[in-house]
Amino acid sequence: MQDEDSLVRRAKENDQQAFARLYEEYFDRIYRYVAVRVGDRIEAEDLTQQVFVNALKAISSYRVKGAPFSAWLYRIAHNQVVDYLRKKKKRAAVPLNEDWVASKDRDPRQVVEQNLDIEQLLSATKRLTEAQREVISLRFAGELPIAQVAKIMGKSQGAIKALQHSAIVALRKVMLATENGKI
Amino acid sequence: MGRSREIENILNECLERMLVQGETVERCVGLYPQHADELRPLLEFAVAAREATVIQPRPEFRDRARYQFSQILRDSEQKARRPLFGWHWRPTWVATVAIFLVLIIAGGGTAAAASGSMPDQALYTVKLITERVQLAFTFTALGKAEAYASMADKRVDEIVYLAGEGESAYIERATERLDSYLSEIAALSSPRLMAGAVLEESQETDEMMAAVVEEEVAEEEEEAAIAEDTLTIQKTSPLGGEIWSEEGLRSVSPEARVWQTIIVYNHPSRLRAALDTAPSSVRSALMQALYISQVSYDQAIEYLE
Repeated sequence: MQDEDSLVRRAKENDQQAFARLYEEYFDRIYRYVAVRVGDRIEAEDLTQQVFVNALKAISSYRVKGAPFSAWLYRIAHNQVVDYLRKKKKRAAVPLNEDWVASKDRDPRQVVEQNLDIEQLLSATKRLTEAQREVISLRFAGELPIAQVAKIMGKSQGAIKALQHSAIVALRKVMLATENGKI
Repeated sequence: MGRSREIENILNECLERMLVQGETVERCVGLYPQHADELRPLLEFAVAAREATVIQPRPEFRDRARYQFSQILRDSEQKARRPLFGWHWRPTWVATVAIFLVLIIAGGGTAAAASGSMPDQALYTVKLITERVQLAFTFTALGKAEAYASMADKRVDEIVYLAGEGESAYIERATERLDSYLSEIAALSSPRLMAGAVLEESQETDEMMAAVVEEEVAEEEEEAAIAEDTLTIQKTSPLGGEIWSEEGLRSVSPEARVWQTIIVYNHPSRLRAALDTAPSSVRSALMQALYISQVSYDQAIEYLE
């Protein structure tokens, strides 16, 4: 991509083409992040679009020498998701996907490691804490380095590493339990 | 350094090496043989999870979103070039008018074709935008409430259609919209607003939103206590037949007219009929829609009684 700083500066000066380039660059990643956070692809579509509308409204307030643009954009996405979840307040109920069929012939651990698909992952992430889900979303779907994740979540890098570890352990446990038919 | 802190750091370092630099699990585990048993399954799982999250938005959504956003960008550019008018127009109205003009210029035919589209079809967004534009150009509480009632009715049509298609995710989305419209109707149906006050976007909207939020919270608190068997359906209106006559409609208050519309639409009855034949995969979503419409239906009856 053309130098991001330069695009951001132009976007701040109301250059719509520059903002459109940033939109193209980040659209898929923001969508992935939101989809994993809310656990629903359809909801993620509306929310993703809203993230960019909010970013456009706020771009004049972005400081180029502050946090990286990606961290700023993910922060907007994070706020959008938090607002959405607050309104929804339905986290407790986690419906099981009836299509999941535990394989009796294969080692469940192998199934988990090799055949993990997004629908399974989205369902499983609903059993994580908010913070764990946020770390998984930002690290894996958002592809952000640990330092940016720490900035977005307002925590130390050490705390993020701990959350990352506990999230992976918990997620794997959920997937194993599902494959074993215990959930 | 504690052992748990150590493993957290090693896991993170390995993830950086693997996800960013493309190193293999085996190579990373080889660097920390003393933690191999603990590390290997976590890293293998992390790689699988990372691969699973590489999802792409649906192409039709991406195209639609790009088109909509280009309109928003254009609108934003025009706004930056103002003043085009001698008075201060509210930004929401600028956006609304821009969308309205786009709809007219880009093709009234498209909007017309979209009017019968369903949530899983390409023109559905145009349908929603058209509804919002119509709503934006409605200035009285009664008019807005009637527009919301009509929109709610369309959402129920869609839910019934989606039940037949087995599309539970779309049903949930349509149900949320239905819920928000019914809440708007309830908020708008106060005698004071119906007395002819033209709605302003500022204070009154805030008051209405506060009312909607309060209502949502109250409903959610009750939700846990609601079971399927509470969804007893009233198949006939408890009201006398005369109230549906032209004479009757003219003689009642505006808010009563809105509630009457809710009863005439009788969404619970239609959703219950859909539930009878729906595949099991959508029953839960359909039950939620039924519950929401039943609450509003009961509210209408309570008001009119």
